[in-house]
Amino acid sequence: MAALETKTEASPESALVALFAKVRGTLPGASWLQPLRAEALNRVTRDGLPHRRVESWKYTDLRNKFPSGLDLASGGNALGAGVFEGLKAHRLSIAGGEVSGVPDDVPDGLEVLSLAEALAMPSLFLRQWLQPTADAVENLNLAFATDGALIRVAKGLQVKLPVLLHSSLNEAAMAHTRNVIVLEEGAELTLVELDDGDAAGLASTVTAISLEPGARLRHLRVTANEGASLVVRADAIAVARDAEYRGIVASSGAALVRQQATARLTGAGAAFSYACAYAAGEAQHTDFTLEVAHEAPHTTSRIVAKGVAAGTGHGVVQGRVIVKPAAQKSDSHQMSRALLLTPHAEIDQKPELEIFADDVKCGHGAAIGALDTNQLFYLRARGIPENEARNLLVAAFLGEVTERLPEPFREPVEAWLATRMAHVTRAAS
Amino acid sequence: MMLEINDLHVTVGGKEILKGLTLALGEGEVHAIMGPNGSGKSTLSYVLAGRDGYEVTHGSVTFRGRNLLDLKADERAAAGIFLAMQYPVEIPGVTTINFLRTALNAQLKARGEPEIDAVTFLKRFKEEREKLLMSDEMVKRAVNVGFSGGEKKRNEVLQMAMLRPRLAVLDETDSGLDIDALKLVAHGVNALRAPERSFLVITHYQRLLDYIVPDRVHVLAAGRIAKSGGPELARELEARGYDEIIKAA
Ligand SMILES: Nc1ncnc2c1ncn2[C@@H]1O[C@H](COP(=O)(O)OP(=O)(O)OP(=O)(O)O)[C@@H](O)[C@H]1O
Ligand SMILES: [Mg+2]
Repeated sequence: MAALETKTEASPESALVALFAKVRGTLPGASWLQPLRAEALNRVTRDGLPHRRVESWKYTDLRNKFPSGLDLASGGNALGAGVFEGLKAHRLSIAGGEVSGVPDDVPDGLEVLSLAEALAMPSLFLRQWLQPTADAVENLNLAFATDGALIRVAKGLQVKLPVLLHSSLNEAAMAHTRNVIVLEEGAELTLVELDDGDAAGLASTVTAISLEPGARLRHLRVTANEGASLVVRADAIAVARDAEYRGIVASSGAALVRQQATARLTGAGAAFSYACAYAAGEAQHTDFTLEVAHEAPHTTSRIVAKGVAAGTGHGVVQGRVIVKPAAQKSDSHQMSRALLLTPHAEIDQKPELEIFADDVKCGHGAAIGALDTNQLFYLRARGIPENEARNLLVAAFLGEVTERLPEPFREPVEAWLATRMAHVTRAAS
Repeated sequence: MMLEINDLHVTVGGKEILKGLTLALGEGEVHAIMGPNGSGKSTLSYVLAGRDGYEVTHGSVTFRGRNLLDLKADERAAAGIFLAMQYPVEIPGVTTINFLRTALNAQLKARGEPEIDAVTFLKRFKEEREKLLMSDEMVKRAVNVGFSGGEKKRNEVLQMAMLRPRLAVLDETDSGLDIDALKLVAHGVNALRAPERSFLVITHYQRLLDYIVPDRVHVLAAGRIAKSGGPELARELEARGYDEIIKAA
């Protein structure tokens, strides 16, 4: 196998093994966690870092882009409040893979803790979330995870203020963050995540989300990393009976972004929706790889992806929906649309359906287009300069996703996206 | 002079559409352009507005002493050219009100004038909108999306009223309007008539010219002006048809 042949001394996998040997004693967690970390790393070296011959990585070569010789980040401080400056929220910052501020003003029934601190306690509660899996990103992350947020919302509690997790990486190093989010029965939460930083490092975050029966999570994320940074995210979401997950993600700016979401709809009436907007400009690669498994009857899923690419920008949206035999009367739809602003930009959209139940409603669609020249002319004929006209049309196109953002988040996200668009469309003029 | 077009030849998609068009429009004047389908009326309007793909192979266009052909579409708009399009374009995701404010501010900026503040803009917008009997709900929708044909035309006039151009080219703004809307639109145009503002009104119907009385009427046929005259020419055309008039010219 080619992947094995390339595993020489200098391979990124062997560098990870060496790093693990160096840092393992400093990683948090009681004795039960260490073998799990070692096993996770084993799987990474056994399978190799993901590359394009791995089916779910068809369009993204992490192995090839993997920055060599990086150490683990050393913590440090988050840079300001970023996109969500001034918004009222229970804030937790994670800088360089280390939690630096835990909110203390939380209502009864809401826990927002540092994972590293929670791991120091002699509890096995977390063990179920920290297992090696078949997923390369999750395994890499488990091997090296230094900290993260542990959020638990007690049964029936509707948390009024959003919880905001702000993760920054501002050094050319690796930060591996692990979050665990549990909403107990009937609980409701708005979780907002902001990723930023512009160092040539790798930020990986794995988030396990468990929504118990009737729980509702609104999960907003802005991935705003810039420059040469690599961002790899994996969300593993379990949605129980009558629970609802609503994700809205906006992503633009980093050299490479991979966002995975894997959802299991395990109870009747479980609902999942995921809307993402991305803009990939010169030398930027953005990959959304989503998988939803309908495992129970009357479950629904909706995926909407809207993106633009310009210059050498590359956008990838893979959506896979599996409807298991038990999932009768399930309803699923996915739609992915993209705009190519310049001829050499690239968009790959791959919707997949695997249906094992007969009484279900499933649909998907994908489309790629260019900006409409009639619309551009109309705007310009009214005095709007070409670049601004383009930005306006692109913002309108992404609006199908951003308009789902609730206030007060919509305005700052749209403003941020507008500044990103100015960068992306510059490659188009 | 507001506009001087001299021996203009224009090629679209490799085909010559305008073949030596000459026209002069004075400050404060209203000229009507009539002519058979496919004679090049919309082509002329697009050339004036600066649409890509319309290649001027010969001739000149001078707008208030400047070479118009040197300017990009948005620069022409900022210089005072407005085109009410025959087929207004739908822009999903952009509300009319946001679109107009962006356009107005872009023009002001290009002319080096201060931007209009939100309160003043909204006040003016409301006045103009009400004059055209357009509902608040309508302008909060995306530009022209779901508008009827007549509503789209009214929206063009609303934009003209807000942008206050020096030269407005109205390309069949009366087509598709009911009688009441026609009067509204005509009234909107007449209200803007001023010594420093000129209009080029492209129409197939004499009726519009009963309301907007032109200073001159031109017949455009096969890419050039075949005949010009006073308002009576429009009535003559209505009575006798293009064919006879063009042949007699
Ligand atoms: N892209 C193009 N390629 C080739 N021919 C074109 C193109 N666009 C327009 N034409 C032709 O140019 C001619 C003039 O069109 P234009 O739209 O200017 O006519 P018009 O006078 O406005 O007609 P109408 O009264 O129907 O609106 C038509 O014969 C049309 O088919
Ligand atoms: Mg026409």
